[in-house]
Amino acid sequence: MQASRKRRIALARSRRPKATIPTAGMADIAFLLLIFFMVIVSEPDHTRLDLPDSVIQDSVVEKAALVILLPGNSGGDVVFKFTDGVEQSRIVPDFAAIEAEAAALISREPGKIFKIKADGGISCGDIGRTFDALSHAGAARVLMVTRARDEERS
Amino acid sequence: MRRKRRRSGIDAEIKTSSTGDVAFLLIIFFMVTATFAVTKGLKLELPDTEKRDDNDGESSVLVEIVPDGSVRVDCQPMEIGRILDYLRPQLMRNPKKPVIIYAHESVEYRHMVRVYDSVVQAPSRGIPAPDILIPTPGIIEDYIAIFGFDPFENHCRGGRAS
Repeated sequence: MQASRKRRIALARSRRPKATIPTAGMADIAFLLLIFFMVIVSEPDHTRLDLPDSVIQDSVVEKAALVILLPGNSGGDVVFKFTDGVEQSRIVPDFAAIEAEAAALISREPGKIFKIKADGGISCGDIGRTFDALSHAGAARVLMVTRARDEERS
Repeated sequence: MRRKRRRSGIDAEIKTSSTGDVAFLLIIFFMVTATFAVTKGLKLELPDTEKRDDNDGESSVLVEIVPDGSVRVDCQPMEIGRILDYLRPQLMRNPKKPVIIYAHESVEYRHMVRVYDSVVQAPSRGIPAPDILIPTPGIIEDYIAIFGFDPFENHCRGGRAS
């Protein structure tokens, strides 16, 4: 009697479908996705600058080209860097090189937006000459990269 | 039958059941920061070197930033916060009146950005968005080549714009 009862219980257990989801691979998929998003978040330029501040903050979501102006070590010089928004920024020698790079980029991607990321201490003369170089290259839209300023502190 | 005694010992295993939870939290974090990885700043339309705007000879408002960072509007010293108050009646009368922001060569970039930022806030104060012009060294050189003089040199005579 007991043996038959045990057999009936065992049979009932074997018929019951197992309601489990194997999750052993979930951690592997999660880490793969994590690495993917870590890679795409990477910025083409990590230059730290004392950016000028502004209340108005327009946004550029697309991968815009970037012209960076930072003060050189010797005080008077300005160091120029350029990136098309995809590759890491690299140093370029002068405004003519910026114009050449911008012109080449615009010939491939008309309507490209250019961001100017410059230290707040850079002279307006150098900024103006950067505008001239981009304008001669055919650029129409420029974003001056700034940091947010609280309006009450102005 | 002898029962084998279970050896008492330390379980040498690392619980990894929460690894997936931690990984998904990090994924969500990087997904959110990827969305926010946008560049912010002030948009500017560069002048078309081929095209010249015809503003029917409308005189413009000159906002000049001098080398020490102070601001003069139509040759009058003015605080940055007062510029829109000065522009309001003129722009309400004529929304197409150009506003020229001219910074001397040696002025620091941050001063020019502050003035530009102040002027582009006009729509938020109920003032028509002004047509802002920023003369670059190239534009000034072109002007000198055509007209033979620098329009921004000694333009204030007797404290009034000439």
